[in-house]
Amino acid sequence: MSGPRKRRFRLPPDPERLRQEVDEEVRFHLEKKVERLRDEGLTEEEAWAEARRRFGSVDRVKSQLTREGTMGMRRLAVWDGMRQDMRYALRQVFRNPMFSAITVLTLALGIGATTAIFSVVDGILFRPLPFPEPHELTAVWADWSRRGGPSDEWMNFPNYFDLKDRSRTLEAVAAWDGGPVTLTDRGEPEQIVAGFVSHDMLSDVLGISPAMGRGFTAADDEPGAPGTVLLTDGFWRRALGGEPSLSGTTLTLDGEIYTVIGILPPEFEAPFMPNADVWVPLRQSRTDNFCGRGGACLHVVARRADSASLEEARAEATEIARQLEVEYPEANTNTGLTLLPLLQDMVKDARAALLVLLGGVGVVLLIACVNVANLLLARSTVRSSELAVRSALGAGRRRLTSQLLTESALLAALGGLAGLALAYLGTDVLVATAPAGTPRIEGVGVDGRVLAFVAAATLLSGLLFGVIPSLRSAAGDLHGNLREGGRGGSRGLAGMRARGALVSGQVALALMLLVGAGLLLRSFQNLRAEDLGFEPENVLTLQVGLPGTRYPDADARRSFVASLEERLGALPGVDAVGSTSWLPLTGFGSDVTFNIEGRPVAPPGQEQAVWFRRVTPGYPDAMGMRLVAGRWLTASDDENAPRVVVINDGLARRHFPGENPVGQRLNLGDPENPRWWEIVGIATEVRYFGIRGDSRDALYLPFHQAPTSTVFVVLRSGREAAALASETRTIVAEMDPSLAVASVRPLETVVADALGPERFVTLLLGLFAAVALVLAVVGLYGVVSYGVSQRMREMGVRLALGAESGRIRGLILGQSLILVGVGLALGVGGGLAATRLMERLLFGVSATDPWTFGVVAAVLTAVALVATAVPARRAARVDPIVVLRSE
Amino acid sequence: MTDVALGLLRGTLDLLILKALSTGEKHGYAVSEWIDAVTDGSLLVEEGTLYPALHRLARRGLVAAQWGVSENNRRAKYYVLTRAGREHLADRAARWEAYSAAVAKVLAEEGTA
Repeated sequence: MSGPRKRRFRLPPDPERLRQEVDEEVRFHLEKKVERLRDEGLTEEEAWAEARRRFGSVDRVKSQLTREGTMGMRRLAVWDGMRQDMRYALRQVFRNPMFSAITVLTLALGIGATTAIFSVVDGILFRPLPFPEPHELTAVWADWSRRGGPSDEWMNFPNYFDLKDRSRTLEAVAAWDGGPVTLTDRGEPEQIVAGFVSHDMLSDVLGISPAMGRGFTAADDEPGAPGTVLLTDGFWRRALGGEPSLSGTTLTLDGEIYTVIGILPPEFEAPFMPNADVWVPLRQSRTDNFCGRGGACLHVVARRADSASLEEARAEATEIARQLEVEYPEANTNTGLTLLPLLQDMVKDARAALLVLLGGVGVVLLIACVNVANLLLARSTVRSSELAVRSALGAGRRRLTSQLLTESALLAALGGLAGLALAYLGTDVLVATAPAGTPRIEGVGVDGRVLAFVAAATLLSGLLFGVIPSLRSAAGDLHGNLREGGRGGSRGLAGMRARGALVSGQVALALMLLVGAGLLLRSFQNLRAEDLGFEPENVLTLQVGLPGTRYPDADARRSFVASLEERLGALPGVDAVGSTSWLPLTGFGSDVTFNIEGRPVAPPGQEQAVWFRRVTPGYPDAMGMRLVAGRWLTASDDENAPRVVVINDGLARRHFPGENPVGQRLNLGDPENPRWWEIVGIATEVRYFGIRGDSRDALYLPFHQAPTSTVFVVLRSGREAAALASETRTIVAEMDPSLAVASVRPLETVVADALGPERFVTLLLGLFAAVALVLAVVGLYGVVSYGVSQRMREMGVRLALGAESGRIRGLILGQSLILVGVGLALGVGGGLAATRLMERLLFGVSATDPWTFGVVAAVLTAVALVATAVPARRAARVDPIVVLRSE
Repeated sequence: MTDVALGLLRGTLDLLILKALSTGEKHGYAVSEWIDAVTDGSLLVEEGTLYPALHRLARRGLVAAQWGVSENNRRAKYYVLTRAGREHLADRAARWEAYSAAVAKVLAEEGTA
């Protein structure tokens, strides 16, 4: 039997009919009852009274049935309407697969890209640090801005201990340092990364405890205390196979034995040294340490007391720094303390780039939405006659609006789903391609908040492009539509104007993105073209650590490096070999104060500092550095020869203007006990601190006069890098099997890594700009070609009246050029305002670079012309007879 | 009749109606007769309460309603169990039996204590 549930078509709720049915049903019951009671011998009157008594209140039951019945019917009607809308929407979606696919793809691209970028930006910039009360964590730096240095200089032990003792607003102050160490007792020697922390860093400042074992105690942190080590979860699983029993487990790091005392929780995400494998105590004291007052070698992180605001902590730190200036004038004059929220400190370099990307991706989403709005607008015009017919057949405006909205929402939902998939994929790709050293990137993922963002974006765009056509059709003039028969007369023209405005808006947005990408591209080119002061092609670099236990003195290190260079130099195809204490572009180095012979010594706090590197004689050749004057350091400048130095031309320019520095002497370090170094040569400047790096005073000391324990070896050779690298490893292993060779990579990779963040941002913004360009062109093509098809009759009449086809083409091209022109004008205005925000990211190009704006405008115009040419040709080729006959 | 008693009754009444219809289609009066007969008139104190329950079951799709002609050629609204209603009845009946068996067992325990 066919129940009501199967009925496809339901009449609208009719309360009057329902009331009649209820009456009839109740009457039937009562009459049957009376019949039976009469059979049992009651009189007619008695029977009715008894039947009513047994039934209860007849009126109450009737009104209850009517009320509940009407409500139920109404609910069903609404549900039916929604189902009908959905069916209708699905039919529309599948009837125009091309249109639907473009719409969904456009949305997916907009939403997916937005979500992926948002996930990354949120994960890096806004996600709270994964520690208790993360807002209390504060980075502490030495402020050297009053002596012409950075405001975020490293600290030293005495100042750090003084701050720790005196501060009331900072409830815990801890220090960290870190670097590579060689692990020797687990298979092949391996370089791993160790974070060195004061004992209270993990427990008191970060507020975490090990997942297994114990944390560091003050006793572990005493100078000379036996070595203890905490392992990260990842290293524990990798190196120890996750062995749960720790008692007696030890690691040999740089030749010293460390007892494993605990394992850190897997979710521990270090706010500094994120790639650290193990954590060990610093084991330094106020008096017994490697970095005294005046030095800069230590990072400090503090936790503010609950009650103290950042401002209060800053005020107190300023006062403490002032006391220290008075107490230790020779080291602390003109220094202060800088306090920054730890999160802000961690992401300060990435912030500007990420915000530009966020802006860029927002523009893409906007363009995508405009495109979809445009597509739907165009369609609503095509369907205006259909809607008029439906309306004439009795569909109310609300029904029509809800139908159009359902259709938009369905497309938005499909786009949102596809966008979600794209978001997951995109986030993974972004995390995988993000430049090395991007802070917090390992914790980035699509999370609940991002999902909510997608939902909001989908809903918003769905409404955005659903409401405009709905409002237009709801406000539509039925008779006009029916009369025009959907051919597009005056109402079509109104639609064209609306779509034209949208196209202009799209062109403007695309121009802004293209200009942004163009400026970044030019910056990137400028950066790549920068003279680095060396030739990175055909150079292999590697790092060797010489642990103090096996190479305790200068002689041991000197002879090892000398024979290593000798053996590497003898390899076939190697043109030059050299060694240095620090490679360029890595941002690391050492500096020392200096004064020039025969000139007055600067008062405390105003000393000049110079960056220095120790290099072997072969280094300049291997790196391809250039000499300006004098000579390089040679093999005869050894530990027994007079002290000599090569300075860079920046130092020569700034400190010896109009003089010849060669032959003059410098003292490095304490001016009270001068040790004089004679300048023998001047080299061109090398970018040590990144390619944008400003010019700094630097000099080169003979490596063999004071060999360092970490050595970077560089080989110049035309040979293939991989083969050379493996031969190099073999030689090191033959010389000392306990040594670990690390960071074997071409110098070009070092340079590329230094440009990693720039490449990443340029690539992404370029990608967005390309997407924006494509979307804008699709939008323009759609509007023009739709407009042409709507005006076929007009074109036919014009041609029939003698218009030349060239003029028709010109008419179409001219009209679309107006749209593009308006867009360009808007875009240039917006671009001039927007690109100022990215000034910090630019290099060697102005934010309002007319060349970039010009080229982008020309490209957009050219592409727009191509997009218009096809429909314009179609219009010009209209056969008047065919068109006019079809009417 | 208190609200609590009515609430208790409602689920039971639904079950009884479904049971009444399980033997074939009936109009509302026939359902009330059947319930009266099997419960000795103890449950359905007011016959009128039957109709809101029947209509609710119809809206839930557990029974279907149809106008037909009664034994003596009168127009009457007939109710019949749908497939969903049949499943619902089987499910509720099984639950009811398990529940009442449990309660009976508890009461028996108390009796011996």
